[in-house]
Amino acid sequence: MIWGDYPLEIDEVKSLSLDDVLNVHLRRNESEIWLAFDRNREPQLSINDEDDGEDAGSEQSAEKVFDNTDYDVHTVEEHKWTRWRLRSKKPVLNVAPAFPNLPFVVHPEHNYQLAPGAETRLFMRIPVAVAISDQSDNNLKLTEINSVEMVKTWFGTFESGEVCYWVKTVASLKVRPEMVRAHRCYCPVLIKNESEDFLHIDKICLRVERLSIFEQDGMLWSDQMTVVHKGGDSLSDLSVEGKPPAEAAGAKLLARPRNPARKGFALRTFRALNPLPMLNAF
Amino acid sequence: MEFWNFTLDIEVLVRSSLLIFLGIPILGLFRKWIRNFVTEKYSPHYAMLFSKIFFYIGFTMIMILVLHEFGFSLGPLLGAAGILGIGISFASQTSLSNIISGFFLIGEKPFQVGDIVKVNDIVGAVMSIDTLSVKIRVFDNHLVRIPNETMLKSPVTNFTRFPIRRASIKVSVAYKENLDRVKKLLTQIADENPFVLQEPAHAIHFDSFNSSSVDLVLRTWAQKEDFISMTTSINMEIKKRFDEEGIEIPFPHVTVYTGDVTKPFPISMQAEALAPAGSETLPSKS
Repeated sequence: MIWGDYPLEIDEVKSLSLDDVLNVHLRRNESEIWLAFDRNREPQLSINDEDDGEDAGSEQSAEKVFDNTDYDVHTVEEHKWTRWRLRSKKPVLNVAPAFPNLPFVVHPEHNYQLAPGAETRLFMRIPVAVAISDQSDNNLKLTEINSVEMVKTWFGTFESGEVCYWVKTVASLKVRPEMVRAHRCYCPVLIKNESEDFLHIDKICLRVERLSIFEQDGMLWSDQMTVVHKGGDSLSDLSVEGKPPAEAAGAKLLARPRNPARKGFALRTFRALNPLPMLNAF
Repeated sequence: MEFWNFTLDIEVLVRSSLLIFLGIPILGLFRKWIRNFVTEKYSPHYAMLFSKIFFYIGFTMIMILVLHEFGFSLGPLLGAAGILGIGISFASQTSLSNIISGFFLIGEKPFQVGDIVKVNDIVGAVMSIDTLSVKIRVFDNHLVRIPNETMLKSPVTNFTRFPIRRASIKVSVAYKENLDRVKKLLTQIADENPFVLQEPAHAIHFDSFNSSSVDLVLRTWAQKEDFISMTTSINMEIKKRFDEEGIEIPFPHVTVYTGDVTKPFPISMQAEALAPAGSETLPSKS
């Protein structure tokens, strides 16, 4: 696990590896902190929704998952370093997980139909960012680095909407140890269909800016988000618990929400673009 | 103090000076405040409009007050202005047309300050929408002034009205290429490009059998601010990946045939030198 404080001595170099997908390099000289990062391609899991009912074979051992072996800092190209001149004489860098700065459109591998009056609790695995701050200077935030290269998508209409990150994930009904990755946070989402029609879930806009991040046994969790669908294209009521889910009771809080949820707020969650007729024909 | 037949009162002079030298700067300050406030709350478009209306009304009022201080009666002045106005309106039809067109432009709002527009082959960012003209800063940093009337009469393309834009990238490949393979590669390029939006989904369409190539069109979507980065990076990547995969991007070919004969003329380069000028006979070939 790489989360924690790093008091750097002069001329000390430290390299942190998050789940073998992101390497963060920290360096200190007399007056400055130097930061750099590089990424490896994220390996694809060959697990899908169908495995929900059974114990799928372990693809990667937990020990390997939380590996933070030192990385050869000399391989970092010179131009990748960013220099930081800080206020504190002896900075202590804090490395913490954070949700990226945009909502996520989560696309479950299989379409999901929720009957009227039914509810389901799905677990989404969201890649986190690494937030670096100066702990000795009132946690002054320096930078945030997404653990993986994000793909963007559009959520809304052709006239207005918002840009989101796109993630294709398994919407599992339970937490599966073989799918736990140190750079992905498990987000439980309780969906209630209070409309009179089936709710067709082919994508969900997950407002991660409203969620906290907790950690337990090296595993990242967010608090549970409840989405109540009332029907049609209308907005869905959202609420956030603000405490770790039952599966991770007593987990340690690592990051507070970027934009805390107000009581009784509603946002568009399920429907994205209404396709234009002959969208790409001309 | 007396000048010609006009008696100038010191008190009037002080009051008028105060009106001019304090009133106009205060007006300017308020104008700036209104511009900032409306920009923050609404848009630069309305900020410009409201600040101008405020300034011109305020300026006119100050001038009326100054004239009043000097004892000018407003009645005859307005009457004279009306007669003068008729004369001026005949003489300045173009200007009036531009002023009225300006109101329509502001009302219809086909573009706002900061939008990227195209008018009669001029592409640039709208700097201001003024009483008589629209100022556009083109991308090589020139200022182009387009009269409001022209703006109203011409087709205007607004590139930044909507938040997302689609690019249509034409891709030509040789007839010998396997189109399924080309399609797969293009899909991969679009999927890997960081500027391409996952939704609306990209699409690859067959365009035409061209004289030297088969043309496909790759249609991808990006946020308006990423549009140029997306088209540039996709085109660069297509060239690179096609080179790596040995897919030919053809240039125009001309093949000469002799009537019904199906094979083209064989052409080969001859290395023989021409005979020197003035010689009577050509060197014999054996």
